[in-house]
This record gives sequence, structure tokens and C-alpha cells, in this order.
Amino acid sequence: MIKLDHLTKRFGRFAAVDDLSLEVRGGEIMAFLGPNGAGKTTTLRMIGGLLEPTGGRIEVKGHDLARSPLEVKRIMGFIPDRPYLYEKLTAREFLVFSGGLYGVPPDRASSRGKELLRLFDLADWSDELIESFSHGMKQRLVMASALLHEPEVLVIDEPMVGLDPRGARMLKNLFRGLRDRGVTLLLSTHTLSVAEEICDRVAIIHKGRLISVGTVEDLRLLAHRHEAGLEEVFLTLTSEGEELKD
Amino acid sequence: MTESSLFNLFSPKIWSVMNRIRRRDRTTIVRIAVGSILALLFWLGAASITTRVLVHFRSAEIIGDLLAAKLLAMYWLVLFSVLLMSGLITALSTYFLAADLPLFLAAPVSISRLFYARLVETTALSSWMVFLFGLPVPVTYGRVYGAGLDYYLAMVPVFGSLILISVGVSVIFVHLLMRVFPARRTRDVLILLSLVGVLILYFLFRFLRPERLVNPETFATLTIFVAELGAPSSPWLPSVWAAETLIPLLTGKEGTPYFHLSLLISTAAAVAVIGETLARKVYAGGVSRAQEGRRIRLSGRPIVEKVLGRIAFAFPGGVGLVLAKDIRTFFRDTLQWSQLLLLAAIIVVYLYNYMVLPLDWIGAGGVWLMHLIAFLNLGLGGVVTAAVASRFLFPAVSQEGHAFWILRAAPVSLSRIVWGKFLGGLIPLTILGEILAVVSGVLLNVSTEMIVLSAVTMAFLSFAISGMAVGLGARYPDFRAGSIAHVQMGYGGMIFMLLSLALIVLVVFLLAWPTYRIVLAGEGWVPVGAGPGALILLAFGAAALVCTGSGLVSMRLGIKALAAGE
Repeated sequence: MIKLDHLTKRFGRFAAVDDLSLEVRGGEIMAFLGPNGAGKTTTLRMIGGLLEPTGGRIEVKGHDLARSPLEVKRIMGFIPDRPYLYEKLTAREFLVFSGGLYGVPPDRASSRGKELLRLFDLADWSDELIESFSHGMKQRLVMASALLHEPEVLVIDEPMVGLDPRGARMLKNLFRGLRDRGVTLLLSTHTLSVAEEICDRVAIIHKGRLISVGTVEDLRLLAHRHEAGLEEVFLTLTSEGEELKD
Repeated sequence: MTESSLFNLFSPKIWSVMNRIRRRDRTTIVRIAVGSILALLFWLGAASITTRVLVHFRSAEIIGDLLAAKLLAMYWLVLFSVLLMSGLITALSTYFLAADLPLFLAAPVSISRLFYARLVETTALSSWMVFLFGLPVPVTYGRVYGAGLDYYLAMVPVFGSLILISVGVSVIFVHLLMRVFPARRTRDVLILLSLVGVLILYFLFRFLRPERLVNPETFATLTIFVAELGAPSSPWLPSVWAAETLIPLLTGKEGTPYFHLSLLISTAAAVAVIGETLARKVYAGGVSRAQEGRRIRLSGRPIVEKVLGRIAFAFPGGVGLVLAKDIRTFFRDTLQWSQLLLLAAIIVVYLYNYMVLPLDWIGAGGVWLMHLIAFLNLGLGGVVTAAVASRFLFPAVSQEGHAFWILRAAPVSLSRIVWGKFLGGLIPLTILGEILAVVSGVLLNVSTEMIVLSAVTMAFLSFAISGMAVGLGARYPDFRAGSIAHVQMGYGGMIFMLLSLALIVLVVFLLAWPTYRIVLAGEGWVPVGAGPGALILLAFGAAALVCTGSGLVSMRLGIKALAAGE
């Protein structure tokens, strides 16, 4: 569903993403892991159409992002790591606006927005200004807006940040439900337990390069840590990646 | 699914304003109220000055109308230039640096549609003020010349097209610049270009000495000068087309107003289409580059680092660290340090005003008048320092912005930090105040007593204004403000300005009589005497007390509110 082909992004001489090739299959949840500064956010921003790659190709559901950006964006929901919200809009207004961006008619956006606000426990706040929302509430609102146009692909940078345990559990169940309905999810996260719990496959990136991809079991084998949790596997693989690079 | 409508793309901005008004946001209401009053006063003032100038000009036979037409052409040129400058900065921000851009870039919105949505936004943001403040001049022309309805009707497309052309050209220029420089550097270049442009206009206007227009002796030679000078009249300039459209409609003289009007309208449409075509080719690359960081230059040099390092550890309790951080961020933000150029220009023009005072007009009462001007200059100097404080000192606490939690969480005393900010502002503000008071006193050739008196008063005023600015800035902080202008124009900023003006008036009032007696004594006319001497001391004591008290009380209020996290 998402295909990255020799994707590269350079900032001056620094390669933030270096010749990255990866495929996310339709209807799977893939965790995109890596230490800080590994190039996760840059990769996701390129998939989201916010940054232009220096080299390589991004394909979503057979559409080349560079050639048909609108086709790709229509079927995709993207949530950046620090999403912008209009503080002086109410939650409901924001959803109607956001739906409008994806061509959802206002009445449909309004009715579906209501459902989503209820789903994300924000129904009582629908007419409050966003400036009065807590960080977690804003995160839930952004999530609701990304689901409004019923995307086939969801790309989310750090979905769990700021969520309370209840919100985190709700989100995990939601992701599973979406996958069961055929939605493809690519999540960047530092919460390895989430990756272990709900993701079908995990890709690990380090210093801009893909160092491993597979199920958690595959990665355990690769790291020679058969009984270990994902955290230890991650640390082993990224420290090996460090040595390889050095 | 259809593509998002153009209206939807800028609807959040409209809803945001509506919500602010509907929810009776205090700052917005205060801003609208104060803004409306100021705009109304400006309108009345501008209309009255324009009327007087036009009536004056029309009294000069033969060349009066020519002169008025020349001035109108110059007006359109200045308006067009200001619109261009304002458009440049706004376009860079709306097209390449706006915080909400990722929302649109991630959505299935075509570049063409985004281009037009941002064009509407850029046009509205960059031109409303120019339009509002520019409108009285052509309207007054119409009134003085008794123009017909066609003149006023033509003003609508003339203004609209001129605004669209200037903004469209700015947008095209910014897109081209983005091909050469990274966005942050482009922003610096544009800020400086605009500022230099404003300074040139400012100096040109001041050094033309428009006050000579009211002097009958110089008026005759000046009218000939202006008539000869004229405005650039290149047939390629849209401002010329604006003048060529309106002048025949205004005076009823021969011309081709509708030809020039159609030139304006068709050019505006062409500029928009050219801009869109260019955006489709270069925008995606430009906006992608705009997200890249920039390198630090001068402030990263070892010598600067050494000096700042010294400052950081020269003051204990984190005060030095905050001061060094403030200096670093100040000089890394072009929007901030470039204001120093504007400040320098204000000082130069302020003092220049005293240099060109027509001293030769003043007769026997000269000495007396000089002292009176020097005394009133105290108030004026105070107002200038208050305005500078509102720009640089009042936002000092708010500027910590979203990073304020770092100071709150750190084991440092908030009180010390705020006092540190006060000291950091007090020193330059006092220097500024003293320059204004002392140099203008010297230029006016007043007595030493008067200069000393001005210097001492200004020192006290600077203390009070610094304390009020930093203290009230801490009392009414706005950590979420997008820009310093927002902080400055907010509720707290207005309160600070009103209170400082009240303080200045009070001090001037308290010192008026004592200064009068001191000048009389200084000139050897009337000795002070014991009784009045005591009263003079009392008045000076009261002024000093008011200044010190208002500074200290404001600081205390601010620190208390900040500590309480109000």
C-alpha cells in the first residue's frame, strides 16, 4: 500500500534519510521505530507530502506521490508530531473545516464529526475553543479530524504522546478496528509496548537508514535475543546499527 | 470527493475572529475599540490636513491645480510602494512560514487553490491598514474639488486593482526569492529591505521639511520646486495609471481615465494568473525548503560566545543566564534587532526637529520660549521612551513564550529573573532618555540648570517607565502571542501605555512651576527665596516619589502575579 523506493532527504550535506526502501502492506499496522534523530519524522513528513524528497520515490496505493499528490492525499490521513490547531476555533468548527479540506460536505462532516467527538470523549467539548483543551484532548481531536474522511491509509507520528491510559487503550482498540476494516497504518512511536502489542510488523531506522524490518519475532531472531522483549531487541539492533555506521 | 472550496481554505481565520468577538475576548474588544478611536482621529486629522493643503495650493493661481495633481500622483506612488513592502513580508509568512501550512500541504488541496486562498489572505492582511489610513486623502480630494459620483465609484476598482497588483508582484517576488535563499534567510532579507524602505521614506519626508509649506515666504519657492520635482511618471507604473484614472475624473480636464482603469484591472488579473502559474512550478520545492533550519552566523562567533558567557555567569541566580539568552535570541531574530535601526532613525529625526527649529523667528522672548520647549521636551522624550519600552521591555516576560515553564520549573527565583529583565532594560532606556533630554537641551541652547533638571527628571522617568513596562508585562503576560506586536497591542500593553502617559503628564504638571521659578532665578530675574524654595523641593520630592513608587509597585504587582501563575 505504501512503497518507499530508495527514498533520500538531504539537508545540505546531512542525509536525514538515506536510500530508504520499505513497503507497508495493505491492511497492516507497521511500527516505525528509531532513536531520536533517526529520520522517522522526516520520512513521515515526506510521505505526508510536507517535504519533498531529495531522491527516490513514494508510492501510495499505486499512485506516485510526486506525480499525483492529490490522489494520494485524498486516501490518506496524516498526523504530524506537532500538529497545528486553530486555537480560536471550536472542536466542531475545526472538524468541519478539516473535513472540507478533504472534500467532505459540511453536513456530512458535521454528523460524522459528532460521532468522532463522541468516540474520542470530546462530545461535551465540541463547542469549546480549542485553546482551552489539554494536550491529550488536542491529540484526540487531531486524531478525530484525521479519521473524518475515512482514509484508507493513516500515517501518524507519535500517536500516544499526551494520552492518558484510557485514551491510549481506546486508540489501540481503534487502530486494531481500522486494520480489521482494511485500513493501512504506519505509526512512528517510542512506546515500544504499543508497537509490540498492536503492530503486525516493525521497521527500525537508524541514522537515516533502514536497519531491519519484520515481525517482532523476526527481529528477535535477527538480534539473537529469542526471549527478549521489543525494547531489548530495539536496543541491540540500534547499537549494532551504530557499530555498523561507525 | 470534490476539492475543498476556496472559502473553506481561509474560513478558520474568519471563524477565529468571529469567535473572539462572540466570546467577548477582552483583548480583541479593547484592540478594536482603541483601534477604531485612533483610526477615527487619524481620519479626521488626515482629512483636515489634506483639506488645508489643497485649499492652500488652490490659492496659488496657475500652478495650484498642477501642484495638487502632482501630489496626488506622489500619493499613489507612496501607497503603491508601501503596499509592495507590506505585501513582501506578509506573502513570505502566509505562503511559506505559516504554522497552519502543514494542514493544507497534507490535504488534497491543489497548489492553484492554495495559491488563491493565500492570495486573498495576503491581500487582506497586508493592505487593510494601508487602505484604511490611505483612504482619507483621495476622499478629501474629491470633497475639495467637488468631484462627481464617477470619481468615487472609480476609486473602488482603482484601490482594488492597485492593491492586487502590489500584493501579486510581492507574491511573485517572494516565490522567486525562495528559489535563491532558504525561507528564513529570505525573511531576513525582506525585513531589512522593507525597513530600509520605510526609513528612506521617513527621512525623505522629514528632510523635505513640510512645515515650510505654512511659511508664506518659503511657500512660493517650494511650490515651484514641488511642481518641478513631480513624481516619477513612467507609463509602466500602476501608480501612474491610478493617478491618470482619477485626476481627469476629479478636475474634469481631458484625459483617458477608462483606458488607464482597464490597464489597472487587466494587469491585476494578469499578475494573479502569472503568480499562480509560477506557484505551480516552484511552490512545492520552496515550501519544502522553508521547513529547513538556518545556521547562526554572527552570534555564534567565538568572541560573541565569550562575551555572552561572561554575562551569563556575571549575575547569580540564573539572572545572567537569562540575560545572555535574551541577548542571543534578540540578535538572532531579524524582526527584533532591525527595530534598533528604526529606533536610531527616530532619535535622529527627533533631534533634527530641534536643529531646524526656526530660531530666527523668535524675538525678544527667545530665552523664555527655549526653556519652555526644553521643558515640554521632557514630556515628549518621556513619551518616546514609553513607546520604546512598550516595544522592547513590556514583552520581555511574555517573550519567554511556551518556554516559560523552564524558568518556573528551575530552582531560580522568579523575582530575580524579572528584576534582571528590568535592569537589562533600564540601562539602555535611561541612555536613550538622557540622549533625548540632554542633546535637545544643548541644541536649544538652554541654561545648564535646565539641562541638569531635564537629565535628573529623565532618569527618574526612565526608572518608572522601565519598572512599569517590565512589571505590567509580568502582570499581563501573553505566553501564547504569535508576535511581539500582539503582546504590545494587547490589553496589558494598552494599560501600560495609558498609565505611562498619565505618569508623564503628572510629572510634567508637578515640575512646571518649580522649573519656571528655577529658570527665572537662573536668568537672574527673580531669586527663588526660602518659601518657594521649600515648595520647589517638595514638588521635586513628590515627582521623585511618584516615579520610584510607580516603578516599584508595578514590579511588585508583576512578580506577585507571575509567581501566583495568574
